[in-house]
Amino acid sequence: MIFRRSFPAVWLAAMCCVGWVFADGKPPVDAPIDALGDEPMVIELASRGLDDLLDRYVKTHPQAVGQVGVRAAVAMRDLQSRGDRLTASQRQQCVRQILAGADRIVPAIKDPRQLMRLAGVLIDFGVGPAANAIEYWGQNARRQAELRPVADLVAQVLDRCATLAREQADASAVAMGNSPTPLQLKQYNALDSLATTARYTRLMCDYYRALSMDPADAQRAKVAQTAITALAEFDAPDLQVQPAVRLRLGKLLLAKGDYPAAARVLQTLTTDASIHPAPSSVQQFEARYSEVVCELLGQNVDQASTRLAGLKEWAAASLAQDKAVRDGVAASLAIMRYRIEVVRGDLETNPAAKKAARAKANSMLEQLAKDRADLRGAIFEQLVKSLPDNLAMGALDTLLLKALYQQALAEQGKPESQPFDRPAVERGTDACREILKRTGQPAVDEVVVDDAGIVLPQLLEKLGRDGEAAEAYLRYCQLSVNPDNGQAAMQNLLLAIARIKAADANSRDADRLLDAALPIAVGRCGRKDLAFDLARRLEKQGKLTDAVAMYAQVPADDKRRLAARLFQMQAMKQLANTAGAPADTKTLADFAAELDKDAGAWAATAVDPSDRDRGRLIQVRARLMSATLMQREKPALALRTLVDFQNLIAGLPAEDELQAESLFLQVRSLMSLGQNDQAAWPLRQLLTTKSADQGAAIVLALLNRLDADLDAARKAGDAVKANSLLDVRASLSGPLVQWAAGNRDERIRKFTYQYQVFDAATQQQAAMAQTDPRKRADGLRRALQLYSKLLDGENLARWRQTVDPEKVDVAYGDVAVLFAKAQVLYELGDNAEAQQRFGRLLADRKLGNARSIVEKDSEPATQDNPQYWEAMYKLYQSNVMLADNPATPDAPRLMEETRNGLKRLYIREGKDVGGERWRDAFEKLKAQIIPGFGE
Amino acid sequence: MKIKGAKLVHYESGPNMIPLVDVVMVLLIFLMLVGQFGGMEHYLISNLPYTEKGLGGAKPLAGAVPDEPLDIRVDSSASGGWVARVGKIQTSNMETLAGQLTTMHENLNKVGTKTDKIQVVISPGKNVKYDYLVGVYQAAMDANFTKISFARSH
Repeated sequence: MIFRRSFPAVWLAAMCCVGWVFADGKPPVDAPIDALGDEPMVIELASRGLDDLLDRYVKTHPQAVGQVGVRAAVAMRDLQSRGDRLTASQRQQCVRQILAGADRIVPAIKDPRQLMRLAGVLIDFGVGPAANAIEYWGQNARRQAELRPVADLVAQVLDRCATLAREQADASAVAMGNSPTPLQLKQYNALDSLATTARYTRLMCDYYRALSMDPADAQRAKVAQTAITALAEFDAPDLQVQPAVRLRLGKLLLAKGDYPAAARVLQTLTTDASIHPAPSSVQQFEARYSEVVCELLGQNVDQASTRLAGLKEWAAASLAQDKAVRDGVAASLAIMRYRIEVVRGDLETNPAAKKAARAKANSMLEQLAKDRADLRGAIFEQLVKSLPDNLAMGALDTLLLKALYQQALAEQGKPESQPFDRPAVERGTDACREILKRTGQPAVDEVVVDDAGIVLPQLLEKLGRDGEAAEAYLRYCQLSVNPDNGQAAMQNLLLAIARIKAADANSRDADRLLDAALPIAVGRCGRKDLAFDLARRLEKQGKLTDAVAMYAQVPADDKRRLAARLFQMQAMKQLANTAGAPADTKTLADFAAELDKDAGAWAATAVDPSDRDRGRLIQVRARLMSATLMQREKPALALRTLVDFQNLIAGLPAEDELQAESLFLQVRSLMSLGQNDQAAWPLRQLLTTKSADQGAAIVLALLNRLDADLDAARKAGDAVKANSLLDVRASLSGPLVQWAAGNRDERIRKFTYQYQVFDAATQQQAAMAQTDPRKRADGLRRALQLYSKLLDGENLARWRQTVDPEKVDVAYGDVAVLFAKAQVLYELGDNAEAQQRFGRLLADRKLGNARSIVEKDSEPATQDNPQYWEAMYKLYQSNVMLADNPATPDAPRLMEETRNGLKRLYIREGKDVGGERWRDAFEKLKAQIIPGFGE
Repeated sequence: MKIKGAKLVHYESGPNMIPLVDVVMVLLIFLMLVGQFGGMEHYLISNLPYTEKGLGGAKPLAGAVPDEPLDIRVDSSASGGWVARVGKIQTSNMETLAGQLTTMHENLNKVGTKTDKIQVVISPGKNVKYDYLVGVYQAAMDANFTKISFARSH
C-alpha cells in the first residue's frame, strides 16, 4: 500500500526531462567556496545531488560528520543512492537523521527536482513502513507517533517543491518570450509538470498525515476532508491517475471515519468500468482489502469475515500466481483474520468466550510468525499486548524483546501528568538488559543493541531510578558509536548526576559517575565547554599532568579561559615541584608573562567591574608567578617585576594577602642579592603608608605565608629551605620591633605589639627547628617568656589599641598569643597547663569549628580548620599524658572521659577527624586509646 | 461561565489547622533568631576577662574535653536550594539529613552520651529560607534530639 507505486507518469517524465541547467540557476558569487563551513558545503553538495563530491568531502573532513546538518545531508544521499540496499534499521536511522537536520537542509535545497527526490525517499523509507503497519495491523500509537513527523516533513518538502517549481516555470516563461526555442519549451513544460505533480503528491500524502493522528482527534477528519475535496479535481479519466486517486479517496474516507461512504467509493474500483485507466489487480486487491477494514472498523465482524472469504477467492483467481504475490496475499489475509478474531473477542461479553477468541487470535499470529520471518517484528508488537507478567527474558526472541521495550518506550513518552503502565516499563528494562547481554551474537543487529542501550536509561529514569539510569547512560556513552545518541545520552547523564547530587551532596556515586563521564564528554562528545570542570577535578585528584593538558583545551570563547590559564600555570608549577625536578622555568616564565599581558588587556577592556577585578587578579597572580620564578636566579629582575605592584592590587579583594606575598618575594629577592640587612626595608616602607590594623594584617598574612612554606619545606624534609625561611623571619622580625618601638611617629609605634608577636613567633619557630633537645628547650623557654610578656597588663593595653573592639573580644585577650603560648607549653611538656589552655580556647569557641565555610564557585564549601584540630589533638594528647602520670588525681576518670570524647569526635566527624594535617596523628591516638573503634 | 459547584464546598472535619501551625512555626523561628534565650547560654562563649593566671577568670575546664554542641550549619546554595552540614554529614535532602542525624544520635547514645546532654544548634546562613530551617528543625526532631536551638545567622 506504499504510495510511491502510484506516482503518476507525469512525475517520471519530469524527472527525465529537467536538465542540469536548472540546478539553482547560477553559482554563488557572494562567498568563496573555501569560506563555506562544513555544514553549508555538505548541504550544498547534497542539494545538488553531487554524491561523489559529497563522499570525497566527508572522507577528507571527518570532523564534519558530527554536525546535524551534515548527518542529515549524508543520510539523504544514502537513502537516495542505496536505500534499497540498507537494512530496515539503517533506513530508520537515516530518516531520523534527516528529521533532525530538516530545518537546515530543506531551506538550503533550491532545486525542486532534488526536493521531489527527497520527498520520494521519505515516502519510501519513512512513511511507507509505518503507514503499512497501521493499515495492516490497525491503530497503533507508537507507529502513529513515528509516522507523524515524517508525514509532516513530506508535506513541507512537497509544498516547497511546488512553490519553487512554479516560480522557476514562471521565470522560464518570461525569459523565453514569444518565440521559445524547443529546449526552452521543454524546460518550461518539465517545471510546470513538476509543480502540478508536487501539489498532487502533497494531497495524496495528506492521507498519511490523517493516518498519523488519533481517530478521536477532530483534526484527523478535517485533514482528510480537505484532501478529499482537493483531490476531486484529479479524479478524472484523462489525467491517467484516476484509479490511484479513487483508491486514495476511499482510504481518506476510511481515515475520516465515514465507513459506509468509504466502502461505496472503494467498491467503484471493482465495479465502475468508466475509471480510466482500468485499476490494476494490485489496486483492486487494496480496494477489496480496505472494504474488509471498513466492515471491521464498523464492528460488523461477520460481514468482515464474509468479505474476507470473498477476497481470498478473488485473489486466488485473479492475482498472479508467483510465490512472492501468493505469500504476500496469504500474510495479508492471515493478519486480517487475526484482527477479526481480536474484534470478535473484544465484542464478546462472556469472559470464557472472550479468552478463547484472544487465544485463537494469538495462535494465528504465532503461526504467521513461523511462516513469515519478515513480519515477526510487527507480529511481536501485537503479541506483547497479551504476554504474561512473569516472562523469562532469556527465552524470548530478540524481536519480541524489541517489541517489549518499544511498548515500554511508548509508556515512557507519556506526559508527567498522565499515569503510565509501570510493569510494562519494568518489563522493558528487562528486555533492554537481555538485548545488551546478547551484544555480539550473530542474530543481534547492532542497531537494535544501540537502541536498547539508549532506551534502557530512559526507562529507568521514568521509574525514578536515577542511580541506575546514570549508570546505564554512562555505559552507553562508553560503548556507543552513535554520535547523535551519544550527545543526548551525555546530556541526560549529566542531568541525572546533578539530580543524584541534589539529593545527596556527599554522594560518592555521583562523584564516581562524574569522574567517568567528564573525560568522555570532553573527548568523544566534543563537549569542550566541560574541559574546565574536568581539569579542576583532575587537579583536585592530584592528576596534574592530565589537568594541565585539560586546561589547555578550554575553548577560547569560554568565559573561564583566563582562569583556566591561571590554574594551568599553577598546576604546571606544582607539577614541577611535585616531581622533584626543577621547574621548566623558561616555559613557565613565558606562560606567566603572556598571561600577565593578556589578563591585563582583558581587564582594561572589561565593562563589568567584577570582570575587571577578575582580570586584574589573574594578572596579579601571573606577575607573582613571574617574580617567584625569577627570585632565585634573577632576583634583581624579580624586584623590578614587582615595582608598582601596590598600585596593581589596589582595591582588589585579599589585597593584604597579595601584598604580603609580594613582600615575601621582595624580601627573599633581597636576601638572594645578599642584602639581608635591607630585607625588612620593603615592609617598613609599606607600613608607613598603611593604617595600624592594615599593617598588622599584612604582617599576619606574611607570617602565614612564611608558616605555610615552612610547613611544606618540613613535610618535604627540605631542611635547607626551612632554615632559609627561618632566616627570612629573623631578618624581618627583630629589625621591625626595633624600628617600630623607637619610631617617632606614634602611628608606627602602635605597631610595636604586633611586631613583638611576630618576633616571639620567630623565636618559637627557630626553637622548634632545633635538633638539639637542650637548645630546643632553651629557645622554647625564651619564646614562652616573650609570649608571657605579651600577655601582661601593659602589652594587653597596647594590643587593645591595635584592634577594633567591635570585631575583637578585647576582654578575652589576644587569641593568637594565647594559642601560641599553649603550643609552647605543650612542647615544653607542661601538660596540665597546656590541657587547660587548649581546653578553654576550644570550650570558648575561640578557635572556631572543625571546618570553616568559604564561598567557592558561588557555592558555600567547607575547608579544614587546622588550628582547631591542632588544639584538639594537643588537648587529647595532654590528657593522655596526664592520665599516665600517677600523680594526677582521678586519672582513670580523666582517661575514660578522654576516650569517650574521642569516640564522640569520630562519631561526629567520621574519617575527617583531624582534617588533612592532623588526621594521621588522630589515627595513631585512636589506635592507642580506643583501638578498633568504628571499624 | 459560572461554576455552580463552587458554593457547595463545605467542611466536615473542622477548620484546617495546618496553615496556622506553619505560621506559629515561622514566628517561633523568627523569635529564636532575633532574640536571646537562656537556653543558649549552654554554648555561649565565655566573655570573662583574661588574667595572666589563666583564661576566662581562671575558671578551670569542666571535664577532660570541652562539651561541644552539635552545630548544624544551614547555608543557601547558588541554585536557590540549601545545604546542611554537621560534622561528616553534608546533604541537601531532608530525609537523608534526618536519617543520618538519627544514626549519629544512636551512636552517641551507644558511647554513653545521654540525649539530654546533646545540644543541637541550628546555625543558619544569612539568606537561608525559613522553609528550609523548618525542615532542618523537623529533621533534628525526627532524629529524636530533644535540645534543639537556633543560633544567629552567620
